[in-house]
Amino acid sequence: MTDQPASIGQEVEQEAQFGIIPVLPHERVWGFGDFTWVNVGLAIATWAFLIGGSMASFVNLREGIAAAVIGNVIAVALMALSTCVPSGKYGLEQYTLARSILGRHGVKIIVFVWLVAIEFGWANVLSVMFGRSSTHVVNELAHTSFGYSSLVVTAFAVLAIVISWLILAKGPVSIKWFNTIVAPGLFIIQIVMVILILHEKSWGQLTAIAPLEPFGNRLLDFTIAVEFNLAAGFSWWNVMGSLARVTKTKRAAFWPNMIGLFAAAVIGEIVGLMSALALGSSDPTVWMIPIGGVALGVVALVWIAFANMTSIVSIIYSTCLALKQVGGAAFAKVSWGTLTGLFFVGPAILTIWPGLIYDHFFQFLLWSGVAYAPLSGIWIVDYFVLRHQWLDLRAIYETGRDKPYAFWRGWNPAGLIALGAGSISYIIFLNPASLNHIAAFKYTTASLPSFAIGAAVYWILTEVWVKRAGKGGYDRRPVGSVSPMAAVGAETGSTPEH
Amino acid sequence: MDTKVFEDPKTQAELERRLDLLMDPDYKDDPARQDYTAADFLAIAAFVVILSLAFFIWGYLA
Repeated sequence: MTDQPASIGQEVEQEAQFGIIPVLPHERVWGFGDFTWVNVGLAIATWAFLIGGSMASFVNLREGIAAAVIGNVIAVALMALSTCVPSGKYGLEQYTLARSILGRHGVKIIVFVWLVAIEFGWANVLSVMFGRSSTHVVNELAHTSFGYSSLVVTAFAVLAIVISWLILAKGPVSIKWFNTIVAPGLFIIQIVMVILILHEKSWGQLTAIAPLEPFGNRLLDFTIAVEFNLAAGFSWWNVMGSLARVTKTKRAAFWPNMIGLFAAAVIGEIVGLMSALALGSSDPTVWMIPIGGVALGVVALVWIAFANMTSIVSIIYSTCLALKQVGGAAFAKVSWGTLTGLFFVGPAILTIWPGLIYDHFFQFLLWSGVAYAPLSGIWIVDYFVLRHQWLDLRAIYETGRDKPYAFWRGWNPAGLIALGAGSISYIIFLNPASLNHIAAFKYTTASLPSFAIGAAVYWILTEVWVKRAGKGGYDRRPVGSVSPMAAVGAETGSTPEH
Repeated sequence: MDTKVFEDPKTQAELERRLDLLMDPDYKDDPARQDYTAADFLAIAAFVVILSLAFFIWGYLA
């Protein structure tokens, strides 16, 4: 793949470079409606089925709908405030802006550790879902009985990865084309599924079905389901800033998330939850043929397999773009085909054990909360409270050691300590690997304390250490550009920055 | 130059041009650059709290 045509490498390189320079007003192409549709398209994906299906293990239909709404509305709002609002205002994607909280080298931690690890997992989950969907189609059409963890699943999963790589190597244009046709197809599948399920079972019958594998404590099961949705909502963090940067107004940067990501994802999850409860399985690939019959079921499975592939392509595209943007000269020298190919090696090896992550999907998703809940808290306290919604745009790019966002040689230890404290507190409240939890978890969730602890530690360390050391540029907001919130603070007696 | 980011001089010059434009004290006509006000935060908080409470009561308490 190193011999790819120069135009593809140049196209990607241009997009990577365009991504890290601030946009001008005429380049802001998305109004409120445009960004809403973009969000709806993102949210209508197969992972909504996985999330809904996983919730069925713990809660019934009414509780699950409530958990989906509560978890998503809180997490999507906090995620959007932390990443979409600053990215929308300054026309910059989140990883470049994050230099103001972690330092230019500190940002590499969230890209090379969190982003890569989580997207490795997502690529594996989606390729296995492709593999299982395809295996169901083969079993139905060829009257075979390959198992859910057989080598046939692995072979199809690897095939999905290889095809995704070939699509990725063709660059951004082919990706956008695929995405325009997948979401409408999945939306139609969701509608047909709801109609067919409600044709078989009444609403009353559906709400009476008990959860599949609950812990047995109703509040604990409900909180687990809420936590699951909190983690799902926070997991959008790594995508949304890059998109919100081209929105036209401050409200267009935020509210479409609440309509698109929140509402569309919740609807998809409810369809998944209904299906899982009705059929007694949390695996979406099992639902289609029992719900729709052989013909409709096979068509739906083929579409789901296809949709998974486009999701893999989109996820790995944005991840490898971030690696190029943050990785500096070392990554700039690696060709696009080689980088994306190397990225797929890990997920491809993991497909040897198809159920390793896929069958523990809800635990895997909780790790997103470990990463992005405290990061959202840190960013909100830094941007809204400490900096009063003002960033020194030029300083974002300045590389000298005495520059505001250089902190200490490009690292902000306050940000990294706060991130670590928030992440560890999450694992104390709820360990995603073992699901061990402390007693307080069922009243507090794990994401919300993690968010609050990350924010509080960052605030305290910045006040007592970073500001006193004259680092971080917290005294640089120009006189006369006081934000409305700072002005409110002044009216009520508190002291704004200027 | 402290803001040297790109090896390509054209891209670097474009970055400098944009920073000069966007950091200009007279740059005020971009509606995306408006700050969030107390009313904005109140609307977001109300949306989140009302939906959460309503669905908690309907889905869990009822």
